[in-house]
Amino acid sequence: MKKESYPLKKMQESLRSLETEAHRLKELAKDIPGVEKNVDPIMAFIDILKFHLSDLRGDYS
Amino acid sequence: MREPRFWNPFFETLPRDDLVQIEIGRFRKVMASAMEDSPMYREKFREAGVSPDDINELDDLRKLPLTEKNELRQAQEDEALYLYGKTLGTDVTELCALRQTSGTTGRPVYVPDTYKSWQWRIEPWTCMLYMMGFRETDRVFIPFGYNVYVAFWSGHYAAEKLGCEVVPGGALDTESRIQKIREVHATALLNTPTYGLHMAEVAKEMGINPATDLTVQKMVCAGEPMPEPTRKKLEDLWNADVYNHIGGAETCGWAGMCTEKKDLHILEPYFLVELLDKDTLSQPVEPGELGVAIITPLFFRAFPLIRFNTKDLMIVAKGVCPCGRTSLRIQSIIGRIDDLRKIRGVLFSPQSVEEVIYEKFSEIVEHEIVVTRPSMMDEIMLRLEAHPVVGKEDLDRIGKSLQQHLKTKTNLRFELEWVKPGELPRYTLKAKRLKDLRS
Repeated sequence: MKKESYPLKKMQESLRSLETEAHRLKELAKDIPGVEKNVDPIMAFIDILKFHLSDLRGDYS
Repeated sequence: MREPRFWNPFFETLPRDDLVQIEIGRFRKVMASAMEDSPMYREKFREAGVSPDDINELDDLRKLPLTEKNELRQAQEDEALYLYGKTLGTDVTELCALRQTSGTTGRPVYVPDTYKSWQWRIEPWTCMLYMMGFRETDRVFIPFGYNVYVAFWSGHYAAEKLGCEVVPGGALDTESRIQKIREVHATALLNTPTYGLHMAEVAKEMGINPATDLTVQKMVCAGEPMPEPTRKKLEDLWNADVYNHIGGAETCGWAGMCTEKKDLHILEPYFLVELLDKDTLSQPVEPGELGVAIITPLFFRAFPLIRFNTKDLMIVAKGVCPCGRTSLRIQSIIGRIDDLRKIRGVLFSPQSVEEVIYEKFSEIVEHEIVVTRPSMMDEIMLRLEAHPVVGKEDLDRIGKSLQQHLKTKTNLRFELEWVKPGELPRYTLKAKRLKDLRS
């Protein structure tokens, strides 16, 4: 299957927004462990999503 | 709507050259982070005088030394609190779990995980279960007592992630597990091949035929080698699709069968796998040839492993798989180098006995191989347990036929001893059917 056959760019944009917001939330919530610690798993899954949406160089851009 | 065939349609069908390029790129990254964070690799690569920029194609990997299990053990010695010593590739505050190898070949190796690295262990397993046809409608029973060993933990969480319903089956005896499988209508099992055989035997003693009285449709076997005749025997006993898988505590699961049930797909590009000539451990082997698997997980940071020597002997498959995946495939797993024995000058793998028995002698339910050297010559005694319905008058005929088949397969002569039903040990994890008593 060619990567062009699904909306890679749009998915990457969406993921980038998610990552930006996750970082922002973690920063805002650094005195509330109940929020901050629940952001960490999100970051782990963002890392895996970057892999799924990476390009032919293995890079997510 | 048609169900997607692939967990990741892009990577799983990518032309091989592109796949290799991605793996080389990831290899450079994992090597760079290992050099930065892991004292063991920093020293190792400094000594080798190699940097990530020197790795541009597969042949360049040979500039780097292999990682042996003993090195991991040594690097973890005398580390009172955090145990991981020079193998750790992250800050201790990031760690979330400690698991360890089984210690079959010596002192166990401790395997640390952060939340993120643990998710990276689960991810390839999830890809593999999807490839084996696991879906949200499956109810997966795991007849295994999870503990400090890593076995089946990843499978449990991968099935959960996939949306299956997971039923943990630890802390139950075999009868209770079989009852539970029936009670919850489990559709899939994750177990060792030996335990799959044992459960079928116990179920029959309970008056339950796993093939007709239970609802198991799929079984994934892990934890020990499973020759093809054993896989087929399990399929017959359970009337289920039985899938083989390869993995280890250090590397996680790195290859598994697709629904074609022929070869095992290497989970690329999660892993970079080299198959090297067993004598030199440097030259790559061609498809169809025997090689030792050298693994680099490309996403592990907490416990980096670069060119880990699994000591597992296997043959790379030729051609392409009809499933459409382009990954390298393993045609067959021969066994561990550590399990190979030289007997009367002949290289012998205990798996060859299992292959003959499960392929041709359904009357035999358990066996044990005892190697001795009473004088100058090695002797092999094969202790056998027949199914209780087999009459004594048939044992002589079965034994002679078995000896002939073994001679053809291994070029060795076996003495036979029939023992009473139930006398030989049964195994739930790693079967130890070879006893080498030579001093």
